Amino acid sequence: MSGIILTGLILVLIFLRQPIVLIVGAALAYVHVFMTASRPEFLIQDMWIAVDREVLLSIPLFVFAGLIMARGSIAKRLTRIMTSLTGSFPGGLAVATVLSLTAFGAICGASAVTMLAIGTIMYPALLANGYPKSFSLGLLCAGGTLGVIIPPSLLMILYGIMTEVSITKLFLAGWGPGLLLAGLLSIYSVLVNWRIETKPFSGREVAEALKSGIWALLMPVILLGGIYTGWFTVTEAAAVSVVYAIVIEFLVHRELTLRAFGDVVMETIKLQGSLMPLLAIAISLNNILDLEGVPQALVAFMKGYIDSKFSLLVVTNLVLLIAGALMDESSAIIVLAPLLAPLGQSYGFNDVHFGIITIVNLQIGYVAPPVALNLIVAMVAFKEQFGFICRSVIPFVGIMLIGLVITCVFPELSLFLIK
Amino acid sequence: MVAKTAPVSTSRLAQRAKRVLDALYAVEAWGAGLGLGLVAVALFADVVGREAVGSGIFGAQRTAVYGMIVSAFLGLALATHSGRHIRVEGFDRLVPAAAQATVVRLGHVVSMVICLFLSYWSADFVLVSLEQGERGMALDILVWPIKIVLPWAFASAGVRYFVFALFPAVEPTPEKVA
Repeated sequence: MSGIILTGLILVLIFLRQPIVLIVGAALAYVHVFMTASRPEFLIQDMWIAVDREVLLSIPLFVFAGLIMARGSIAKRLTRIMTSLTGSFPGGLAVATVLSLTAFGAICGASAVTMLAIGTIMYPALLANGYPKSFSLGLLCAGGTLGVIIPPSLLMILYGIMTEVSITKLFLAGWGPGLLLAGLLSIYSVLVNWRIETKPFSGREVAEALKSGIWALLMPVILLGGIYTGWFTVTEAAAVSVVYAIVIEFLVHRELTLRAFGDVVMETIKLQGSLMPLLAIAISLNNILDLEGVPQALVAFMKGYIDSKFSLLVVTNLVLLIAGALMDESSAIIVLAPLLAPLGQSYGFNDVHFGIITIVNLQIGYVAPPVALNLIVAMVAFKEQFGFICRSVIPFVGIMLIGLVITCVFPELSLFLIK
Repeated sequence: MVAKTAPVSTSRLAQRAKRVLDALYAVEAWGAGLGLGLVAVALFADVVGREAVGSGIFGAQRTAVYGMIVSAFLGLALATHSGRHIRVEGFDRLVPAAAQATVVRLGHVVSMVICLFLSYWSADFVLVSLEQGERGMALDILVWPIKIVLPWAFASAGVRYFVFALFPAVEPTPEKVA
């Protein structure tokens, strides 16, 4: 009976447009008071314990660094390098867009930030060079999701925190599926835009672009190289990337104003303020679910209905694709990962591979309506109709689904760097 | 750091309420900004110290964690101010157009009640810490002054929802999370 009331409470709160943080908070308070022999004060205590941990420090810092680079000129310089390298090939500007999104994804962990940083530069350039509007919008929206699959990735950090899978291993495993998607998007870009006129190759432009963008190119080398070699932890890497971005943008490139920096600080704080309390309450919820043996019960229940690894894969993919379309991806991972990860483990999936499958699935949620963050941000940033953007992204969702299937079927694609 | 509620052209009371919220926003924005700065500076100094002189800075990580907690929970209030909280939007269309405004207003009242309950329980949590003289793990300092940010943040968000319910014109246009 209590379970039914709890479900009703959650539905009523959703209907009343409550923020997810308050829905989870209210639901958890209900669980503490009516379903367990506990008190709501313990909810707050668990929240405090959840946030009083060093591992969370990387979240605001990676967001902070990504936003600094998006508002400064690092994104612009990366784009110039990629355009100078591929602009002379058929579909080259579109391929340069994919490569720029990939390179920016390697220094920024958020999807919409990646799309905006590169999109604001490349969208007008693509249109000016004769690329169809629908193709350009679809490419940027879908390519922006490379930000969460190419390490560092906010979703991977959240997954690691919620399931205790090594974040460094997830960072290594993301490269295969990330580069696969970048490759698929590049191939599609060339095939579709074969006839578009190209510019002659200029070695001088390449040299100048490399010279102006060398500091931007060094960033992923320092950041990821530092993590993979064990020189610094993920958290320390996040702090280094913030300081590096500030130094480069203020002292070397000198294109970031103090006012813009203030906006970046506020943007980071608001994002943190919408995410971290939710994370704290969700961890508190997990504690109580663990205590009550819910994940184990769920595994036992599912084993009664799912008889193979393949069936689990199908069910997991469907659940995650629907969740990604209906809710924000960070919230989806915070709520679902602790329930799905034990299932994956019980069916013999590698922890890291299952994490990557989860993330690649939710990555599609960024472009799947109705709650498609990249499409909504693109609608505002590029001033286009939501319906038009939804249609423009359809072929790219198909490409992403192909990437998802390959990621599921070939674990080695994710695990080869770990082994 | 400029507050971003919608411009108000309603009653004098609503305008006063907006000014109070904007002032609160400014104070909390500075607090949160300093917290975030502390996180970056403490961690970077720790790395530099370790690489340059062979040992990190004592308590740097704990200082960073406390900075993050202050920044994150003040950020909760600031996100409320700007309509930045993540919510499930997929069911919004189920509400008839004529009832939308009422549902939004009722929603703000419910949000206020939840926030005030969370604030009350948080205050209780802080009082226990104060009475027990609880001190930090690596940094030997009293923890309750940092924990105060919890009841503050929930109360501040609750007050905002109260004002939004009372004066819908003060309510911000929701911003999208990046």
